[in-house]
Amino acid sequence: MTRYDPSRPAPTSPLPDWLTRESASAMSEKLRGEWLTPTRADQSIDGHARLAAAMLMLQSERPRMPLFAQANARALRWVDSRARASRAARALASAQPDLPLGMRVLGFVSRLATPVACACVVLLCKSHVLSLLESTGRMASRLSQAYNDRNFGPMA
Amino acid sequence: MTAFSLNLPRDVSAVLDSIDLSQVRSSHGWVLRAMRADGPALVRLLWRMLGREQDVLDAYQDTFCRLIGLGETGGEAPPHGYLFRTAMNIALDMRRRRKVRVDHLETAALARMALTAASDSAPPGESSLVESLREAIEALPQRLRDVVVLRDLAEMSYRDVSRILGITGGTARVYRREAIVALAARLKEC
Repeated sequence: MTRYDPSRPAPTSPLPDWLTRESASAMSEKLRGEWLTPTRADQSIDGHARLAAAMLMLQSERPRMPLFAQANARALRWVDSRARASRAARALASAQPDLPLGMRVLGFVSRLATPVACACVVLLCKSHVLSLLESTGRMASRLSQAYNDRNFGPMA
Repeated sequence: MTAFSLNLPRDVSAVLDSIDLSQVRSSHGWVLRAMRADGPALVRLLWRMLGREQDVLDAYQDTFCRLIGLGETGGEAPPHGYLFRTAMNIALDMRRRRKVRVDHLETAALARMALTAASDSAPPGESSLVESLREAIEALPQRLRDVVVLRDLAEMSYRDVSRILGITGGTARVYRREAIVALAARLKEC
């Protein structure tokens, strides 16, 4: 989640008034009247009185801060940062590479460098091994020729 | 800079000033509409269910987070009742977590401190009665609890309650009556 950044410039569009002004409920007085009216025909009259008292106390509790404005601010900050993050993510997902020719050639060369180096090493190894085999074969034929000349006389 | 006529805390004004509503409007416009139409009732409901400012702020934000997460595919508004149902569920979860936390406190004194921390100004008797009411509401069956929460805590009309819960106005009245009897019986025991 993106944090609130105080250095970011303020938006130009004005924020609506309702965002910070908590409107009172139209039902508030009616509900209060209902709970204040003593109930009849209840076996649990004590319980009902306690319930009415608790409900009235609960309804008259007031927060110590402008809760609606604060709640909206906090939720909107999150939604705003999420909107920006999702826009950035969409842009990133659909981004196409747009490199200059030099960079592309450089990239191509750097991609090819490793396989070329490997091929060189393989070729060198291979040619060395083959030359060793050839020289070994030549030496063996010379030795066998010398042996034959010494033991059986020169062949015609 | 946008100037606010209300005496808001500086950090709240700064946050509100920094928000670009046009961005929010283009991607999650339904959030603004929901805040305007149902925000006050939602905050009232959460405040009365939870009784702590910070919890209300958390629950309010979580409600929109969860709904935005649900509507990820199209970015469209969820059905009307989802907002209140989600908020009620989040508030109930918070209360249950809080109760578990309190249960884990070792001494009764610590538990009492945690319970009365919500309202410093209220006398102990009052706060415990209100807390008993909150617990009694929490313990109600869901169909009764939904009606009581929306009608008495969010202060909504029966028409709105029935629209949100998908029941008739008559059914909502019957459920509320049942809920009041159950709450009175429970509070009598306290």
